[in-house]
Amino acid sequence: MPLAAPVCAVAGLAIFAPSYSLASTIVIYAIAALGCNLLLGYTGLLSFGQGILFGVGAFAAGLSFVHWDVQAPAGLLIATVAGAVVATVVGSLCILRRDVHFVMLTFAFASMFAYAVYLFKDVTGGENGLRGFPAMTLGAFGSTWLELDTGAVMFAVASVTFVAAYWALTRLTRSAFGATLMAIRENEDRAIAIGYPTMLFKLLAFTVSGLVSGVAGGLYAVFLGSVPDSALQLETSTMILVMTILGGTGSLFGSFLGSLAYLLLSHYLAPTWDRWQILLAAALLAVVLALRGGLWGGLRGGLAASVALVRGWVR
Amino acid sequence: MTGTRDATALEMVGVTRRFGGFTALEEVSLSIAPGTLHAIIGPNGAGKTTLFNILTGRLRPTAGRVLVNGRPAHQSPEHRRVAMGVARSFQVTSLFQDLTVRENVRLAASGRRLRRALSMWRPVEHDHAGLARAGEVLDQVGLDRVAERRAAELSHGQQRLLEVAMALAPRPRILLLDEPTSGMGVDDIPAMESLLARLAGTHTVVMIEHNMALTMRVADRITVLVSGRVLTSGPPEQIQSDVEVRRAYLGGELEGASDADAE
Ligand SMILES: Nc1ncnc2c1ncn2[C@@H]1O[C@H](COP(=O)(O)OP(=O)(O)O)[C@@H](O)[C@H]1O
Ligand SMILES: [Mg+2]
Repeated sequence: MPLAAPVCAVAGLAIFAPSYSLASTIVIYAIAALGCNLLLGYTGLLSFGQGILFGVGAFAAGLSFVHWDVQAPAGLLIATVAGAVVATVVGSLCILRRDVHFVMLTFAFASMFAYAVYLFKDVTGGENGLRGFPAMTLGAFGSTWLELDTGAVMFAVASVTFVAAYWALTRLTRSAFGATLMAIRENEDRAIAIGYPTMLFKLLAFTVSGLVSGVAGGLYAVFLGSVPDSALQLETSTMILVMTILGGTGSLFGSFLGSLAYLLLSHYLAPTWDRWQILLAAALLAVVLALRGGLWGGLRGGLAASVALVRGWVR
Repeated sequence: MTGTRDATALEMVGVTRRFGGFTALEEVSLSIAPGTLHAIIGPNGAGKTTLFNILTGRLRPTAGRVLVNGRPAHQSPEHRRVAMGVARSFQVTSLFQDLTVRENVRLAASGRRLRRALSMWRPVEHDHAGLARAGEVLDQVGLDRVAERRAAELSHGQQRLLEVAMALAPRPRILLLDEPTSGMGVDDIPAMESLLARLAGTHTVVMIEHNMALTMRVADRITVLVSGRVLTSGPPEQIQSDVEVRRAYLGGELEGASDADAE
């Protein structure tokens, strides 16, 4: 059953999205928002570092394509590991402080990584980013099963990854570990007082978030066939945060809705109106002020209300 | 039970705690016999909560030692004290507001089993031991009928009971209760008093309390803390008649309606 929601989501995209390219982008950012949601929605950690993890995944995959000529699965694996390692290192320092100080630390790290892209031009390509990937293929150990040469195939790969990540996070958030993260979100002091070493739990939440964000970044590199310098910029962090909050923190499906809403708005408005993001800001305001639980919370509330209404009529 | 080592359940030796230039506790020594209910009274700002924070490892003492069952404890971090058998409740209610009452208690019951809490794959419903213990404790404090509600939806009196339930859940040998009746209306107090009386039979309890009449009824021993120092310590009858205590703290209040809060 936990698979029903993400499978319906990608099936809906396959049918209704105007292009596979947009559909893939939505799914890739939905994965990144899932990683963000684990920290923000379930653990109560507002991190500006989500873009770092996404960008590190993208660059790690990109570098492995450029220098080692690996195929997509190996590149994604490298992106996932790189995301988790960086998340663990950055997280271990950020969680030394709490509240505003924690947020400031994540912000400091995000800025540091953003500048590092231009400081280490030889590695990252600076403003040009990473280019010149070999043709993307699915396979391993010298044999190739599939060319990733059409939008549909790319979308399928992204969708399978999304469903897998969604399923794994569903399990995790319903486990004893997930329950403890929510306790930390609600009241960290009490969680410590009843015996939980909360630093360890927060660190592991970072690691898992890094795994998920890293694979999203890796997919991004595979999908684009290049890595733009913007992948590691602060705007990526804010974008992922906005998607997560817009969709609804604390519900995994909200992360998909957030990515969907953000990218659909951008797709339809950006070409004709370059200040379209003001609408996004307004939507964010509305969600934070009025729709507790984000788009998903609103949708669920609306559904429940209409069901009640229909029941009333029937009676 | 093994002779001298268990002679005191909890001991503070020469504990001083400073906040900057301010001394909240000065050379406090305290020893609590196992199986007794030991009350700590004193005016606001006397350092009672600070004393609990040191006993539970939330604060480190500036000087002095803490012994739990004869073993030094002041170096071990707060989250390990539960495994040493020490659990506390808070003066200012400190719950997981958005989680159910049952989940609040399950979390508290399972806090010392780190391995289980780290399990990322098995559903939390498989924490049978924690859930069973939560059920037991909710029955014991009389919150079983509201177990599936969110903690935030409880009345203040029920929240105070949940506060104590969470301290009870990990089966501590030593219970530290910080003003369990704080903010409770007169109607809610009997439920708490009967719980305290039952706990006193089975646990070592250290309790900070402002309700004098209740304290006199349930305590085996009382320590009076004033301005960070122990003024006196003794059985309730002695404290009640101690003229110095009255002057310093009780202000003659005990002669009249003694249920009034000392605040
Ligand atoms: N973390 C802290 N930092 C600075 N001062 C503190 C801190 N905790 C307590 N104090 C001060 O120590 C004194 C004792 O406080 P507390 O232990 O809460 O008293 P009580 O519980 O007896 O009312 C008060 O003056 C309080 O302001
Ligand atoms: Mg106090």
